[in-house]
Amino acid sequence: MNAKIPLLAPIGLALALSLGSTPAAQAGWLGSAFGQSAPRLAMAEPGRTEWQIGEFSLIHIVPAESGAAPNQQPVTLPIEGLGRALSSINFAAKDGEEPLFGNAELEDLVPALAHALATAQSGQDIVFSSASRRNGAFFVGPTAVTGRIFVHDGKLDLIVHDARDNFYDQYRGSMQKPVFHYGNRSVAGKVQLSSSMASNKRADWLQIALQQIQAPNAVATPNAAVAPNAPSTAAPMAVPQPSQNYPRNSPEGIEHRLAILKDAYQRGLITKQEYDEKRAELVKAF
Amino acid sequence: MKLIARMNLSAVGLAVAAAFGMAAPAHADTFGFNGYFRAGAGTTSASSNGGPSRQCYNLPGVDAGHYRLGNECNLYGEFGFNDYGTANGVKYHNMVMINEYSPGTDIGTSYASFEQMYSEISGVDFAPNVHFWAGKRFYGRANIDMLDHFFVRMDGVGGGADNIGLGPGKLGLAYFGSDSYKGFGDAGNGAPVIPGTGLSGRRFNFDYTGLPVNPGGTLRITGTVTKSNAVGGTTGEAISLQHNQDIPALGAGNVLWLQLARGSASLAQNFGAPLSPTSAKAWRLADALNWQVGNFSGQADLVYGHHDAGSANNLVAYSNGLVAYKNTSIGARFAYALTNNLRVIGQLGHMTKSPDGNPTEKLTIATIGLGIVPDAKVYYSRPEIRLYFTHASWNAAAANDPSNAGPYNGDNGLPGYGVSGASTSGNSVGVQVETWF
Repeated sequence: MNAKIPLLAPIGLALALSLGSTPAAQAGWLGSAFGQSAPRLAMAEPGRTEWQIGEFSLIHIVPAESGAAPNQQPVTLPIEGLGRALSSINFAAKDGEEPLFGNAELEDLVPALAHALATAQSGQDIVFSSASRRNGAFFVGPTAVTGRIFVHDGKLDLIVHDARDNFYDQYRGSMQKPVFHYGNRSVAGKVQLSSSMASNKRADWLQIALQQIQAPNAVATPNAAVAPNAPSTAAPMAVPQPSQNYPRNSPEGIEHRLAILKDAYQRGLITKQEYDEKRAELVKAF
Repeated sequence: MKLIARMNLSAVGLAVAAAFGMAAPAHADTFGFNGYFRAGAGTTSASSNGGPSRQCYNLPGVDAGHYRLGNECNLYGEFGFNDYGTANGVKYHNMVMINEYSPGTDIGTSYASFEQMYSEISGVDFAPNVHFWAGKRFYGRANIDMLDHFFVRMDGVGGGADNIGLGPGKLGLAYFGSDSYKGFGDAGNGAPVIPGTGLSGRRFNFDYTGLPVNPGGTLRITGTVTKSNAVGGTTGEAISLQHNQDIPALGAGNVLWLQLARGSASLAQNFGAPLSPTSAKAWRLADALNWQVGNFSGQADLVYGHHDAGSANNLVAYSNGLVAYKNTSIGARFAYALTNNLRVIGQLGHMTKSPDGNPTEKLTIATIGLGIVPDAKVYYSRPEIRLYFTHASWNAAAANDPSNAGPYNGDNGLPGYGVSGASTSGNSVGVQVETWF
């Protein structure tokens, strides 16, 4: 559940911000890989076809495209695993690769997508628009990621139509609700996606094996189409396997978690900053 | 996995957070701030020797907006605070918006108010796709931006439900009440214009949107029923048909309205005048075309309206009494990108008002200027910093419209009321910023 913090006096707010920014809070979608509570599973919501996350962030269940093979929905996926998969996706921006989604954006989007995947039927696709003010800015309009998601042949398919739909100015000027386009199977879009957890069926179309999403400590398979500036895909180090069960906070348990963390960094699943912060936390616990 | 706690941020709290060097998180959607403001300064050819500091030009008493580029003598801002959250699997949205308006350069005689304060809940178990709301809010607005006029504006205080699936479109139902029969700016109980009568009223709206009617085109049908509680108060009905058409070849589209109202309802689907006879009708046809082709973008409009005597926007008598009038408006506004961030901006508009038995009133405005924007090819790119020159000309009939009888404050209407031989033209130059976020 979201914790709702009531309106705070300015000093109290500043203190809350300074105390609240712990590495654990910023662990993002890898938190469950490091000994937190069991993965959350989304429940089906029969009859529901829309999830409104924000003013321009919506998820719809729609009829699958004409001629499309039946999908494998409904499918129940762990929310954390789905979050890891989506957070691994980059796109080719003007100045180089950028993550497709922001962390705060995924916090809202992923649970709703998981519910939609657990609700949609085989003859349905899921389309979404996810709007966000990017790069920490307040006084600029949001841009939207728009896409189509479905499950087929043991994979989660994501087709992105717009990585940064600059719809807001048009909306404010015309007061007409933006019309989002979600991408389709037959016509390639212009977005170029990459992910160390997925393979490219097309530049704008990624496929992620469901096993990757469902495994609690998923190890990424190398992306067949490696985008420029992607983190190095050095051969994975041998992750020490425990010879017996040990508490997660024992020296052996922490050593194991450090090894997983290093492997995740080397595979490009987490950034250097995330690696350093989480490592410092584990070393302190050691 | 811990979710980032969602916080309501006051403007002061936000500033403090920034001062402590806290990196703001990537904000989802319009969480936090959203809003609009415009501000600027100018002068006119008549400003010397005690003349007006600025002048703007608007045909008096016409319910069709005004050509706004280089023609806004006011300072205005709206600052909204949005909060989206989840509780027990249900989505909620709280919105508070304050505004500040001054008919002058700065805030000296301005007023501020809460423009919006409402909550919306969706995803409930008994109707998962429906949005339920209550409070004070903007509602169902549709405008022609170059005229700064809302052709549908159901704003007010009330409650309702929308996003109700009905066939291919969506249905919204809403109830609004007002203590002084105003859609907005309710003066509240105890401040009736006619002492002892009470001007409160009730309004019911339905709004069906997104009905596909042709390739790239959708229809919106909005209806209104009003009842004034004033002594002698009347009922009213109104209907609006709005057609939106995508035109990919123009990179934009077209909006067309056909609207009819009578009695105490208004063409904009809101409260009209509480005592308007049910036989008093008004109707209008309005069209706005947008284009975005290469470096050239813009908007054009065409409006034609007819207002019976005593209808919502026709309550001021001429020398021959309360009479019906027709009004027209035709114009265009454009932007042409010279570089990625610099563009030429311009506007030409012509408005007329023809009250029965009275001379036709005319106003023509032409504006040319330069705009500095993030993306000069995008018509609605903001913020825009503008330098402009405006020339307006009108006839004596327009200056002497009885709706213009109040002291001209430079913000609306026309100078020269009741002054024989007064100038019927003016020139203004100025600098202005307009932005939204």
